[in-house]
Amino acid sequence: MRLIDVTYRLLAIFANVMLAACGGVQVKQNTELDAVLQTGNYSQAALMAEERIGIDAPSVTEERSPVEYNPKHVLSHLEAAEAWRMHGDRERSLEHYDAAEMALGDVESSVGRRAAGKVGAALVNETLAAYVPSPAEAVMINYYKALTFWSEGQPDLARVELNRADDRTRRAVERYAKEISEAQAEAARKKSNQTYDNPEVAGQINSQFPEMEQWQPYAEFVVPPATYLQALFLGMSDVPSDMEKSRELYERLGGIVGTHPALDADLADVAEGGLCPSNDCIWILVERGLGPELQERRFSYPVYTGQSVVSVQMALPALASRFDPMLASCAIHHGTESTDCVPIATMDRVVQTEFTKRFPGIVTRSVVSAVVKGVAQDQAGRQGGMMGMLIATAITAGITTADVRMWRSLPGDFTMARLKRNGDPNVSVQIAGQVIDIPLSATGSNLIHVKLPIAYGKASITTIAL
Amino acid sequence: MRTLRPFLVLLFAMALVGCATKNPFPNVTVYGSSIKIYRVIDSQTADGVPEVVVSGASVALNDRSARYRAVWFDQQSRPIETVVSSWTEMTLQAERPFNLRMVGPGAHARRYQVEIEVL
Amino acid sequence: MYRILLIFLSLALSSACLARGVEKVDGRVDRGPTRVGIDYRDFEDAASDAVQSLLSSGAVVNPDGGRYVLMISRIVNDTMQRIDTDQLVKKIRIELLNSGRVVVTTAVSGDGAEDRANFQVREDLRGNDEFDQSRVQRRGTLVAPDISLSGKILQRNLTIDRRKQQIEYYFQLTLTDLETGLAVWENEFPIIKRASNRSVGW
Repeated sequence: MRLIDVTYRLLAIFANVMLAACGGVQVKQNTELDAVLQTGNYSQAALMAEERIGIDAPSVTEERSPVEYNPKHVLSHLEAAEAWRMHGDRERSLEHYDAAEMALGDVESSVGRRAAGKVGAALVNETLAAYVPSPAEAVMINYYKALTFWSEGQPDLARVELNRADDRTRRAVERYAKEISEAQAEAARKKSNQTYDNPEVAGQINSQFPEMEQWQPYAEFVVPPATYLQALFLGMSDVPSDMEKSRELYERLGGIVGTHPALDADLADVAEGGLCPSNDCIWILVERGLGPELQERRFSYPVYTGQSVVSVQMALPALASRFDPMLASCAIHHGTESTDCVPIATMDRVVQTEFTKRFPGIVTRSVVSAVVKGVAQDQAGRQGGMMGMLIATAITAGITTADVRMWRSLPGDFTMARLKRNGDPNVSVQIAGQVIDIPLSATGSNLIHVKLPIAYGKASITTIAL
Repeated sequence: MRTLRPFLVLLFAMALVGCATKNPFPNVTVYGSSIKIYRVIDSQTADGVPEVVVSGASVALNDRSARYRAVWFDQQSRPIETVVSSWTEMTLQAERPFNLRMVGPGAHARRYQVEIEVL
Repeated sequence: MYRILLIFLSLALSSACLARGVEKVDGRVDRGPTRVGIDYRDFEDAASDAVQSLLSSGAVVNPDGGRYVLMISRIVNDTMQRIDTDQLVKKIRIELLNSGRVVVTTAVSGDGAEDRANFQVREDLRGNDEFDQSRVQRRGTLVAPDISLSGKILQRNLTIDRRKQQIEYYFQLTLTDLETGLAVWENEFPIIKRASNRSVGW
């Protein structure tokens, strides 16, 4: 017992020091990145992310080292990818997106997913495991890659990415189920009934997350902008099977989004056999603001050790919205026509859906971990008296941190508008007092993608001639 | 003569075995055991593209993996480099018959050699 | 004696080192492990099946005699993998050309002219007195296609149970008579792979 105790203490002290350092670094990095993104200097944000990966990145103009997948820096790959995309360096962006996608383990690579396991992480804390993008983030990777390929005039590659997004949506359900069953298996191995299925556990935990009752998660996992993009892509095809799939996707979206002017007009078109047969439509997809972030929520959790009840510090991730209400004022003008930016989805709801599904697994793992820590605290108290108990409590509190990592540059919401060309060579997006003029292609339909992370910030604009 | 008798018996037995295993379909070579070839039908499409259908059965008691192909030769008996001569994987179902159909790469294919490999 | 031993030893070592690195594969007999994704053998199998089916169907036999002129229309990659559909099309083209039944035009294809030179020599050289005009291609000499080959490569991923997945690929090809617009030959070649859920999908 003494040996276990000593080992545990050493491990705890080591982990405590490591985590305090890691956690501090992570928070500092997030703050730095947010500050740079707010200035609209996307290339600097990208270079900053690259530096973290270990890529020698002197400046935008100088020759940069090639992007190599680094499993320890998946999030930095994602931040770099999106920052480069917004800056306009699509090639570099795609290289980082490809790298981040490798962490998902379903892309053929030499490194694969070896370093991305969660094994052994839960007992100490969640953040020790290499980051694997969540299903929603994974779909967003393919969504941005598809947009990029499409805008680069490579629709064949865009189709591949949209197919991947679709398959990831299907597989998300399996991944959630797997995460929960793994956590339950972990609980079973520890001979613990402290799972989220246990009403007592659920009651204790849920009381710490009252906001979750107000959430409006989707009934099933879905990332509406990716589904919309695929529906639009296939709807532009003249192949009947593509049109049929497009109609299915639009109908699925209709069930999720409800009444929406652009969506309804598109669905009416594909039901008739062709999306915008007059080939003079403008779709404007505006991504506003920033998506939610995860914050650590700490609270005491009572653990019955068999001999007594010990209070153990518990840390779980909680969702916090970052949407700037300034950005809610948004309209699109084209000639004499005007329309509002009507959301098809908010990232808050997408992440809430995902969070709701993953929460039982996260809770079960954390409760199992809390029980182990509680027993250790109890034993430390019995052997070391009050001082032993205090030290052990301080250590367990120190080594308990929640995994709050997530891709920070995802947008807050997605709005879609559809207009008909009327001779005006421009479209303007009026958002939070800022007017963004976007030239259209000479003829034909256009898809315009605008991303504005913060009010008065710099918008990234992509125009695709369809 | 008496001392020679065992050798003569052996020789006779070998001859018999030799006759028994003689392949009645010289254009079909089987590597490995477990299959029996019943019939080989040669035909041609209207424009002269040769086809061959090999019918046989597995004599194995369990399913076996196998692969087959036809190597095609031109008028000068030179093998023709063609994708239709690539190996095709198949599962030989236990004690079940099978039919393999192979089409030549064009009317210039005159002769063929079917290879079946039981793994 | 030692010297000979040393030579043998170094030879053995160097050959061992060479063997451990890269191995060249004979594609005609390769029985290496199959990937979950589409690999060169899948293309070869699909092409072999398509060519045999095409030739035995008689669809590429021109009733007026002579060869049909084939254009390659779009072959859509509807999978989750970045594959080059030319890997399939090229094999079929080579076989059809060698069969003596078909010639392929590079002046027209689903994505414009496959070989821009067809038009470049006309647009740039015609009337350019730097070139011998008697040797510049005349107007109206390009041959219009009679038939067109189009298709799609589909992928469907299915979960069998918690451990296994099934990946289905369908190589679908259609030959269209451009005079009538009728599909005169169609072929679907499925490739079904079953693997662990942990296997990479693309």
